[in-house]
Amino acid sequence: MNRQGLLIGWIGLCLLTPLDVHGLDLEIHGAMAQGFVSSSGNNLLGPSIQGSNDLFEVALNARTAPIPELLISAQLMARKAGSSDTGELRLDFAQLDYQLYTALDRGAGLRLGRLKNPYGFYNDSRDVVFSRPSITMPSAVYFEGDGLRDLFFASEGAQFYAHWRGQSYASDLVVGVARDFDATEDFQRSLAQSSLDGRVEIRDFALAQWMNEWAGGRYRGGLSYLTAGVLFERNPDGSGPFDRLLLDADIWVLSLQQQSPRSTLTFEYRYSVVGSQPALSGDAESSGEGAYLQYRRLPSANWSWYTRYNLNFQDRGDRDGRDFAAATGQPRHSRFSRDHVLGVDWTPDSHWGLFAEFHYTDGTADVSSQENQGRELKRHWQALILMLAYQF
Amino acid sequence: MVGETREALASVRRSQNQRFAAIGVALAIALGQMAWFGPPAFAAVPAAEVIAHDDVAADFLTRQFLRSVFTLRVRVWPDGQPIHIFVLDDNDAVHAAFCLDVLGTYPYILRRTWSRMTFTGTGLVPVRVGSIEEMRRRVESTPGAVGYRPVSPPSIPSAEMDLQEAGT
Repeated sequence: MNRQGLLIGWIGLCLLTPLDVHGLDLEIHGAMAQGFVSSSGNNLLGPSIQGSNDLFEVALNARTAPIPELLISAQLMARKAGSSDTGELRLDFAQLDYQLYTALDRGAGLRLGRLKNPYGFYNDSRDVVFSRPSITMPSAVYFEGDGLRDLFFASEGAQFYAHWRGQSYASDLVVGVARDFDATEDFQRSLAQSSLDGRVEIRDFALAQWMNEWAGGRYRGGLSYLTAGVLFERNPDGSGPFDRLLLDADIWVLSLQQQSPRSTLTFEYRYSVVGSQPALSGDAESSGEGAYLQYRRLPSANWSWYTRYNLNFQDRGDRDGRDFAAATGQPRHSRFSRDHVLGVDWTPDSHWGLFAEFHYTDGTADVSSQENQGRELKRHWQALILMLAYQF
Repeated sequence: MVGETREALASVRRSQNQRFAAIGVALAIALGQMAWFGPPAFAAVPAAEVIAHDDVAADFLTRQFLRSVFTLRVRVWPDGQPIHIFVLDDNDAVHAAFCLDVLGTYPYILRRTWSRMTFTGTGLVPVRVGSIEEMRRRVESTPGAVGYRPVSPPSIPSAEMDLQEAGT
């Protein structure tokens, strides 16, 4: 589906929103955003060295509660992000949420379907720019640059959730499992300019998140855990370059936030261990980590600015990449990323938003190799991203 | 020479690990301290109070449950009836008083929670009304509705009557 067709379809659906469909209390929301990226040194989200407007997102969701305890919601999304997302329309999530138990100070429920993964503060609201912490998700925790956004965002399975509160705190717990699924299409979409000759399967997917609030929400903190296996293997007809490669990932995230009337301070730390069979480059297991600290200032309800320092290390034991360079002869700067970000948002009303973000980065751990095929990566590089968005 | 470089790199790595560990410990202490914070101080006389439709049992209108309601964690009352939330504008003084005095939070925190939830599809969003009168009307006419209103200051009729009697 091309961008024009999508736009026309989206406007058509916007016009339908005042309608009460079949007497159902249907609530419809949508958002659209167009971005522009300009960078020096490396390409980001498109051929940005020459200036690129290859960044476009559109989402449409609907929800209804046919019986009070049951909430049904679904979202369609199309996203174009250079060569890491093709712009095809896909089902972002579709969930049935049933509130099993509601007492005065606690409750519990169950969700089934294609569910958003609660991971860190922002994974389950990364679909629209208005509810993201910045135009681009902090790479230290959210792996956006690798084109794994769809795999990370939602999984098909079940989640059990519970919440309870005391005098001065509130806790939320989610535990989820997903069925083994064929992710070949998702990978194809995220490797838009090259094809994947083989099969990819995600298996043994499970997650858990325990999130807390204190002092009426002024302080938030929590822990997230995600585990998954990724199996690469030959096509059913026996063709393909992979014999069989199984990756096994365990990811932990610590999230902390302080909210004040005019500012928020957010810190998240990610620790991940990836094992592989057979062992890749001599190591059966490697552990990476990342962290970011973001300060956002809100001088008024209509505009805010933010600054972030984001660190990403592919290997904790080799943060400067020297061992890697010695072993492989490749540049060490692909093993780390130190990203300095400055951004500003203007939201004059509840519908429109104009976003700008500047990155100065030391390291290429977050640089997409698909976006930069055939060119040498530069260690120090900058990028400017602009986005105009509308939501209803 | 190589041995010296390796030594230098190892000590850099150790100091980096130490730095990370120090940051981790500092944050752990900060988090522990945060756990001691209580809710914001309440006004001695609340300036806003909760109102609900007649079919909502008064037992349900506890501070704890209202916090869950207004942060969109619950969609139904404990008896299974759907909840409908009505609110005034974020800048309204009555809204602020309700947030502080009854919910123990702030308008800006609720606003951020609601923005997060508009698109996540896990809850239905509060309906904003234009005035206290409209709030009263809609809460009275919508089953399962909850909202708030200002608390009028207590009158002192006995003192006025004493003065009148003394004057005559």
